[in-house]
Amino acid sequence: MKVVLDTCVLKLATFPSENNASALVFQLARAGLAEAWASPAMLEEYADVLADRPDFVAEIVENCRICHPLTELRIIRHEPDNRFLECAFAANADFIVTVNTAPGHFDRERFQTVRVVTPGQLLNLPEVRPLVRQLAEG
Amino acid sequence: MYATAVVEGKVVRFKLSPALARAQRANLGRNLTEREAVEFVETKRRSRALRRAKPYLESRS
Repeated sequence: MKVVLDTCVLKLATFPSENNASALVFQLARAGLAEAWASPAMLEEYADVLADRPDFVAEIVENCRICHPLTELRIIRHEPDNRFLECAFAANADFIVTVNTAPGHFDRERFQTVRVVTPGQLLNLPEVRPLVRQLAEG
Repeated sequence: MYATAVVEGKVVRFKLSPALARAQRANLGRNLTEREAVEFVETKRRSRALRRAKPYLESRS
């Protein structure tokens, strides 16, 4: 399962909460149960947004597979969001994981073959639930 | 350090990686909503765009 993580998901992961689906999604990737993909442009944004947590940025970089999209897209109205879509297409990802589904952002259920899901939706998919159980048991 | 999430209506307990555990400890007692997270990222994007545009803007003034 290949995923592209929106930056806001990683930011949310750093805040403790009783239902931290974002942190669990990151832990799935770290455990190798999901493949997290990123592009250099995305890593730059991760580092910028999480500048107060350089150790976490290092963990993200260590656990992401890097792709180099060759095509610059203009599909999503909010231009910076296209970097994530470019990565998803280049990596042939299954999911973009985001909480930003407002109009003009990731406002479709899918972009071609790439599904847009929130962290909570991802974790509750039938194909993901066994991975969650595996992580929790491990 | 462990965290929890609700999956299939059940609470799942999972271990956090060292850096994520440190980040959560540092943010203990603080809350961030999904909307605030999106706004935070957008603010950073605007700042970065302004930083990049600064040499051009300065050259025009």
